[in-house]
Amino acid sequence: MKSHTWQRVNQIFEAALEFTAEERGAFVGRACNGDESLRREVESLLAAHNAAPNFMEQPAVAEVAEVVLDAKKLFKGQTIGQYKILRELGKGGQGAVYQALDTKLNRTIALKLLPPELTVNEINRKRFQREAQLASALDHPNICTIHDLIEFDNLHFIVMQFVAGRNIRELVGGRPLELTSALKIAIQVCDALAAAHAQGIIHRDIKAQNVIVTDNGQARILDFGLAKLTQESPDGKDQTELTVQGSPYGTPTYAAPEQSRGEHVDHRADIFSTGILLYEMLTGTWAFHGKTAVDVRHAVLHETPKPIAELRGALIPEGLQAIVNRALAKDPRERFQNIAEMRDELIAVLRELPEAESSETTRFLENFRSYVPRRIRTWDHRAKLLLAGAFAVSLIFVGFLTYRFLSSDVARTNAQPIDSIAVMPFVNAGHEQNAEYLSDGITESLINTLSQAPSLRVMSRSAVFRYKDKETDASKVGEELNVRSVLKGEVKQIGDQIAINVELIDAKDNHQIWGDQYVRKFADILTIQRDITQEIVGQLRLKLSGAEREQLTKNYTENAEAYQLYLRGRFYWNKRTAESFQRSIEFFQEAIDKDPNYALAYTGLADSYSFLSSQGIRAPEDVFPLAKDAAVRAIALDDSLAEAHCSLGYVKLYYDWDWDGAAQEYRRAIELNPNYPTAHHGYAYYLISMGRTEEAIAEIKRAQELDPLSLIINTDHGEFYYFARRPDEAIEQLHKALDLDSSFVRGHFLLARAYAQKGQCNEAIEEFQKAKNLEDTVERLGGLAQGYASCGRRDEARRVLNQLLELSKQQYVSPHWIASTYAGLGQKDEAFAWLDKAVERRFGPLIYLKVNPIWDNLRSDSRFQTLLTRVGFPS
Amino acid sequence: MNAPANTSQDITQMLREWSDGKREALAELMPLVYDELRRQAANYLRRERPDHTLQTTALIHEAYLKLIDQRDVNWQSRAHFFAISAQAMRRILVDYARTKHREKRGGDAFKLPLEEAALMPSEENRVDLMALDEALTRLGEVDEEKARIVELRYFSGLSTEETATVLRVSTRTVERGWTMAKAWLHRELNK
Repeated sequence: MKSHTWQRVNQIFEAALEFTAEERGAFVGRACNGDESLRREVESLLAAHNAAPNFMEQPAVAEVAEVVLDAKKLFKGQTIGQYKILRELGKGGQGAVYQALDTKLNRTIALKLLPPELTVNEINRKRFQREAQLASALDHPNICTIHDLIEFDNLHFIVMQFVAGRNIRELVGGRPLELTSALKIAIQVCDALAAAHAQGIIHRDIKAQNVIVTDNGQARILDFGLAKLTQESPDGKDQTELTVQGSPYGTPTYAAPEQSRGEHVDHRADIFSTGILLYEMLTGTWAFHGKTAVDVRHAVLHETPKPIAELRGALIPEGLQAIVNRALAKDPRERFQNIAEMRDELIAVLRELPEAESSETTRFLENFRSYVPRRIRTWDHRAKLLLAGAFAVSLIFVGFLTYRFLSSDVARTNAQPIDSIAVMPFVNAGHEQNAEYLSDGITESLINTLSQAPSLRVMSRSAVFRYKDKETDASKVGEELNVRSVLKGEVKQIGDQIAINVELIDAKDNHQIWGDQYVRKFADILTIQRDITQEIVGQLRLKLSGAEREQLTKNYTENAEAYQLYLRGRFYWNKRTAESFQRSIEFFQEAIDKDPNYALAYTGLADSYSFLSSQGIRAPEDVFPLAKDAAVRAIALDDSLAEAHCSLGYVKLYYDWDWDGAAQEYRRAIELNPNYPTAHHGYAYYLISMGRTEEAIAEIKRAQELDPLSLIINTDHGEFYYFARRPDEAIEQLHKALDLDSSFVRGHFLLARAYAQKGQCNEAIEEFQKAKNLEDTVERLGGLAQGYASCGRRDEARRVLNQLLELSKQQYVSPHWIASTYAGLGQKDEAFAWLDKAVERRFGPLIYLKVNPIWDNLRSDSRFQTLLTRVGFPS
Repeated sequence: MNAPANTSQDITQMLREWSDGKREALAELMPLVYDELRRQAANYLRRERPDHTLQTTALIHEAYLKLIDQRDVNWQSRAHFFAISAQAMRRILVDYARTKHREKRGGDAFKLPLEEAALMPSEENRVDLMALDEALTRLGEVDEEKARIVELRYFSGLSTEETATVLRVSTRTVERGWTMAKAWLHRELNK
């Protein structure tokens, strides 16, 4: 059609629309002026216009909504990257599976399309990737290999080995299998699961449809790690009841009782499911029946399956029924604790069968004949890859303990509940020395988390770190620390993998209560810790409220990198030297960069700044404002963090001299976590500053009860007696503190003061010297000067004082020391002049102005009253 | 699928070159916009919200924010972007329609959950997108402006005003062109 004709058509068409329908015909006739083809063109368009007033009224996307929305379906011939769909193999709760051709490698594979529900959000997607990555690391002849994970058009696929065969459901088809076949399949399934469990991977959905058996009898387990995604919500709770794709998810028939109840699930759930699978193969039917999923679950929880022989209509070997019974025990602790054990017992049964003589079965058994050495070989192989040999050996040992433990297990149920635990410093099993931050950090995190369980007494960091790098015997530790259970662990980082081995031991009889191994991506470290915590809570049968449980499983960051940096920060913070504080600040800062909402990292930052000043390293005005800023941010991010309130309380007390504010923060911290020693410790500081000596002593005793081996609390406790002018008790307490660690400088320093207070000057000077020898810092020098002065050794006091004055020209020397030396020497004018400077620079220890004996010489002076007012004490 | 390697600066630069008359820039630009829109369309529709509506314009806005360097862009580039997106959207939707077609040939009927089915046009108003696409190509040969109007209004879901802005014509022109194009396409599809 020519362009000008088209324009004419347009003009006439548009003009015609201005007329009513009746008038249009006449108008078009006139306008076309005898041009018939033009008239036909316009009229046909007008007719089309009238015919469908709603044509194209809805946007095009509505036409294809169903396709876009139902994009979970693929069709034959469609290509997904390099894979060409051949046919649909089946559909399950976890997505459809297709047989596809890998056009690059020219091989047949199976392509599993995950339901978009599982992958819509970032967290799920990440978890899926993590699980699948882990599962893909499982290299076992009885596990279907995962080749790849792909994303195509926002759809997520698992590319896996295509296994030609029938699943057990098809194989059984309602009739019992031959005994040897059933046993061989079960043995292979157990062996595969043993390998997976050793890597910390639980299948969670072992069922007939998930095990494929090839024509030559090789069994392969499918879908490792997938069940975790559908059954567990991101907060770690099992949600087996949740529906996926509109139908009740889960396979109630195979789910262990604890799984049915939605409780925490471990490898023993797989043992239960394998028991059901074995039962199904032996009888042709399920162990638990019911018309609905609810009925089945009820049966799983309460009923005992019929004897196998009865359903099979034939005798079965002695022992086989016992194996099934044990696998199907309602209480996971009464099951096999280790699936390898179940496998070995099944092998024993198979070996006793007359058919064991057949060449086929002999060949099969050949693979398992020397299964113990085989285990070790597996470990050796992995050792190169992942673990140190010692680690593997300890696992076998754990298995052995588990076995031994079973016998006393029933007795334990009725025994007194375990109400206390000591988390031993995790051993850094790696070769890298600088990974110590990780082992220490995990230990500390577990201590902090567990101590939030009100019914559990948890030994503090300082109590357990005395055992660091030492061979420890659980019952000995239990005796020394007065705890009922001991958690031991080993950590190893290899590249981006982390392996953690834990063991919970009853200190009373050295029995292992629980042991597990986690081998995962480093990014998973937070989940591992949460899993360990939950496991301990479950094993110790702690009763927790919902809020407490939440608090216990709370992750302070979801970012593993940030967490790692935080641990590094804490590691250096704990070293408490000028350099280490610098480093801890850097790490905390980096952690915050990774996760700007990481409240705990802010508290770390705040504490690092605060301590830089309180340890006399930096002037208060340089660091406290930064500390306050960080603490305030921490609270803004998470008001429920006791640590954050302590950090802020510290700044308010030591720098702001905001007594009420400080008290409020500490009280809040105690309210949030009554078991947090630092909160009581801080509140005691506040009380002593206020001159409420007796209350302060009571409060610090409470802190000490919670953390009996803390050096700082023990020495501060002694100092409080000194403030209370009770030198004998001070000396006694400080000796106790020094018994814990004779190289603790502050202990010697305070002991010196206590001796001086008692008038034992020789001992005092000796202790001051010891302190200075241990740590040759300005602060110790200041202490020595003040000590000489208070003992009346004026010449020596002057000499050291001059040294201090000289030093103060070059570096920060707290005016506090100079003032106190002058006070000791009776030079009041100088003392007040330097105290003025100390007040100006807001030197922290001025908060003890009311109680500190070193100022006793000055108290009667009116200037002292002025000073007290300046520091903000209510007169 | 990874995010396009090209930075938003690159894309903005290409867009500018294209609006300055460099036709080749479009060839580079188109696949990027296409990929992004397809990714977003899929994402958008699969979001967990049960109330998802099929707002094509929103997709384009999101893609625009993502692809184009916002510091360095004027309304003109924006208009150009929308013009390109409309073409990309057309291809995406027709691709989906093709998928659907093949599916149906496979004999497997769709069953959609009710709330999703509610989004469907009623049977008599359904449009065969593949046929429409072909007809629209023919329309473009006769009258390119009308084809652009259809892309913007129908495939991208733009309003009359937005379409007018993108094409730099009056709203009246858009209205007339839209009416005419619909009649023409309807006739083509019912021939």
